[in-house]
Amino acid sequence: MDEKCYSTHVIAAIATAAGPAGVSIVRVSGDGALEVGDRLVPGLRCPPSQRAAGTFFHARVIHPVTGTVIDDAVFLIYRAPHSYTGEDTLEIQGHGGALPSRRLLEAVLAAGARLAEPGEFTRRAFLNGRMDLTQAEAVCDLIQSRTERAAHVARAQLDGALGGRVAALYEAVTAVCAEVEHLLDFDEGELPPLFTERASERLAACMTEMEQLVASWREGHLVREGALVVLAGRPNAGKSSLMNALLGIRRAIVHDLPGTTRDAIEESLVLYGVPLRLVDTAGLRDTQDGVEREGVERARAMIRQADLILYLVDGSVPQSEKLAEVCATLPTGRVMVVVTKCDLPTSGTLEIPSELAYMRVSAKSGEGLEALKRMVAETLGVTEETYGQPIVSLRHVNELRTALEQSREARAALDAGESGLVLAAGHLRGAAEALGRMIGRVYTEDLLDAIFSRFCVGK
Amino acid sequence: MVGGGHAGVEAALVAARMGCRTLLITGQQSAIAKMPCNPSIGGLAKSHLVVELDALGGEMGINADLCGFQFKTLNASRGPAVRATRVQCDKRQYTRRMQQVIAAAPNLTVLEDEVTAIVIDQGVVHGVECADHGTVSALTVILTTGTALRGRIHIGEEVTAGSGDDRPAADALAISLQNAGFELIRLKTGTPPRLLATSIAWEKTLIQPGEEPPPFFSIQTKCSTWNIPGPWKPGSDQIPCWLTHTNEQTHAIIRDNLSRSSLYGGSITGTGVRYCPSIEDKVVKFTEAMRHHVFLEPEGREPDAMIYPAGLSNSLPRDVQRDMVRSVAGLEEAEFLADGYAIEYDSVDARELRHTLESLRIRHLYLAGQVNGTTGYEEAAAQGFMAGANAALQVQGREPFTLSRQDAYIGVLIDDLVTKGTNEPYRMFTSRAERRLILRQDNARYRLIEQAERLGVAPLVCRAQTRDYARQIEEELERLRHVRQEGVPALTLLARPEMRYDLLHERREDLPDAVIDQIETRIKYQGYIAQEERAAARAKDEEAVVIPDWLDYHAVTSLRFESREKLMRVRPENLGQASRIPGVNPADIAVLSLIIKRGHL
Repeated sequence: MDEKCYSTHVIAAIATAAGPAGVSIVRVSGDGALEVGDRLVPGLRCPPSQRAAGTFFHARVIHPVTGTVIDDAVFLIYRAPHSYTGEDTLEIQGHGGALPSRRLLEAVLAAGARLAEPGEFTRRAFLNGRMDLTQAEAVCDLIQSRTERAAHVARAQLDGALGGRVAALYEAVTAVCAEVEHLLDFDEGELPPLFTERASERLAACMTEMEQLVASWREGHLVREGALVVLAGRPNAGKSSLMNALLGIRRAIVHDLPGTTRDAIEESLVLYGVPLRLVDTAGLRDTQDGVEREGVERARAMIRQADLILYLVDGSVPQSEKLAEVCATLPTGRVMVVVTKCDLPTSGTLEIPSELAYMRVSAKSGEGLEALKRMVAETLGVTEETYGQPIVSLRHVNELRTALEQSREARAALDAGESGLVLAAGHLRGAAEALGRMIGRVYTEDLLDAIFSRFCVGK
Repeated sequence: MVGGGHAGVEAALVAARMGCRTLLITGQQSAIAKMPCNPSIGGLAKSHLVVELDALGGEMGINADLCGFQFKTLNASRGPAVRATRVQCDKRQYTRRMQQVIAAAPNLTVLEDEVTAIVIDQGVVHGVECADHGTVSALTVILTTGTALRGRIHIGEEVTAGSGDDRPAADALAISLQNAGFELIRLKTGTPPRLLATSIAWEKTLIQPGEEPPPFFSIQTKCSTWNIPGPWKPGSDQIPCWLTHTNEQTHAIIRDNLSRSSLYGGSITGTGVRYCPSIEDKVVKFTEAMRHHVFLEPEGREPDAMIYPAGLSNSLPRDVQRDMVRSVAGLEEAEFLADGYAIEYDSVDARELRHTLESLRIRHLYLAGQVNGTTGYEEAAAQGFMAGANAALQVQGREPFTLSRQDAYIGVLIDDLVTKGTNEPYRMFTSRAERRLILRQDNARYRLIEQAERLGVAPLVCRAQTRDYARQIEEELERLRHVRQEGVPALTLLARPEMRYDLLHERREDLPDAVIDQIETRIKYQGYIAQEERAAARAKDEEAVVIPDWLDYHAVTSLRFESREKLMRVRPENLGQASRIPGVNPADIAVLSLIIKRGHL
């Protein structure tokens, strides 16, 4: 265990987002945070450590070592346990912008604070009982989120939107479980009429709800980690050109020689607020070249994981492959056909399977690019309307999947009647526990690890 | 040993058998091992306790087998995990045989006297104060006071001191415990009236016969080479119980006289058993029920034996009890041999105990049975055995003996008591055990063999047979792994619900039935058993995280105030136990876990 993770040493960090802004805040927390403040404003008649909680004052910040004037700032005093972390906390509001805030932070560090680890304020808040596991987890997501949207979602979790739905499910499954248990512990002979049928029905209703939550995982994952969009196609179909056109830069080496791209190239791109991981792959063909063959293998691996595959077809040359056959080998429902080089004269007819969406683009002229971007965002299912829906984290979706699986098993056991009751009870317990772990009602050691492994707790 | 009930008897016997000089002090020698309530041993979940006790070397199982006259398997169609045994016993014979065992036990002496106080010096108990014999000193003291502590019997408006079944109450000892710092809580239980067998119109009731062959509790009874003297050949000449029902008239009589019941008239303050309610409770709480079961259970073999009408427990005035009972079909002419009554008594908060049942407050003082807030002979006996064994180990300077929730129902029982305490009489249920599929009644002897060997009080021949059977089970399972029948692996075949070992072409004819039963159960529930074993192993990991002495809950400001209070009260031994304390939430446990990992406050 890393010692520094736990000491109540004073930590500090810039609390406001980077970039141009009017105000930037440096947050200082821990035993002695206010004394750190004292060293920043020497000669003040009433230094921060003498001031009451909930007060603020205006002062000139002096670097404690060099003695230079840093900034004019507002100091806010929080005293334990009434602060975000539950510790004594000082918030110093200085002028905005990257440089002034960095200089302010530097002065605070020189005054005896140490730079906070990622998530350390939150971990302290959790350890000091200021927030529960679900909230800590949401904050953790917030810190790590790549986009504005993910931050919104994490905030919604903080407010308990997801927590409320799961709590209701937890109660419902526990209630069914209790009835089965009751029956097992009182030998009154026969089962009440329709007992198993009713239990099974109630469980089915819970499962529908769980399925809905699991379904929202896809969106959650797209928002949090970025959708994996893979450009695939025969060699020289124009994948690298399209990638560059979408990114607006020259990232991939473009060459007429087929097989130029031998390894997968990944770039990030934000499309209508959705982060994309755009991957350019080696052209799919049988090849003797060892390096290229390796590239083709990786391309296939990428295709298997992809959220969306843009299958590129060069519209200017006759097709050497049956598109329908090729697309049949790709994961269904996740393929979009893109006909490239539409600035060049088309060569013959292109047979595109009717169930597939397709677009015509030209990387060179820019034709169709905007439409393609829109279509990609739509196909990924993330639109403005889906904003704020509960989106679940990987841990959450895994717990939900466990709960679903256990509920399914429980129903199967209930169908067996009397002899299945004990097994049903076991599965119901499993389902309830999984839901309980999601909302912090059930504790297990691995749960803690699952949440805090993203911080520096535990190894 | 203070007290000679089911807890006291087991505690005294195990301590004496482990070689300690043991003195059993009881207010009434003739009342040792009496059954003051129902005439049966076992029942759902309770029979798990009896069978575990038997595997460890307790006496209850064999005593019930020898003195039983009706044997039944409960929950038979619900699978081996919740299957249970219940034995109707001849009360007189049960008591008599147990007293004979006590009399014959080496190292064990019985003293008839009232214990009035415990002798404590600097947080260590040194003996007890008796009314007639003065101070008796001892290295360890076990209290199994049952319902005696300030016992009060309620029949309608009448209240008399006593601990039930005409035994005296122990008020002085209650005060002594209070002075020692124990917080006492008031609990309540009750019993129905007793009726004369010859006054019952049996033809108006439904017969409930016993089961053949009789299912026994004890390995000793099952060992054919073993022959223990009993009142009759075990399981022979079973006699039936009978079933009748209350009716609207019964319920009307109760409703009309509720104000005169001790329970509803307000003279009882203690909390009763939710799971074994009095008939007043049932009528008040389940208004929609048109009738309730009444099982007529003989208390002995003789034709004029007392009949225990299970389901009619009450605290109504004597005249109302008679009207109420006589409104039930078959009981119109019922003659009363004893009245039903409710009893209120003091019990301690079991959260003041360790898993060894030793007091956290006073060293070398153990408490077991109803005084810890439980109800039932079986719950009492299990605790008595554990307290007795640990007192003996303490005297001998050996490591304490505890069972975890993953090991046994006894472990679940004690962990629940010392972790959660109870504000109503605690009764065992299978749903209290998380690992029901591995804590079966049928495998108790195998899962507890190591512990039985360590204590060394279970008969050698039984332990040898358990080892022998265990080996045969493993060998046969291994052999079956390589057997195929018409191309299908034997293990796959046996996993089918309807498939029996006897139907295998390549079966072995020489295996005992007990071994075959184990093989079938293990194969049929293989996946589930493996899953629970993994869960048990994980839980054991949590139990292995010992909460260090330096962890001062006062100083952990990050714990919520209620959690801190609860943790200080229970003083959990490990993280697993801490996580089960009601009111201590997962986030608190997470905090504790992080602090323990950190290694300092």
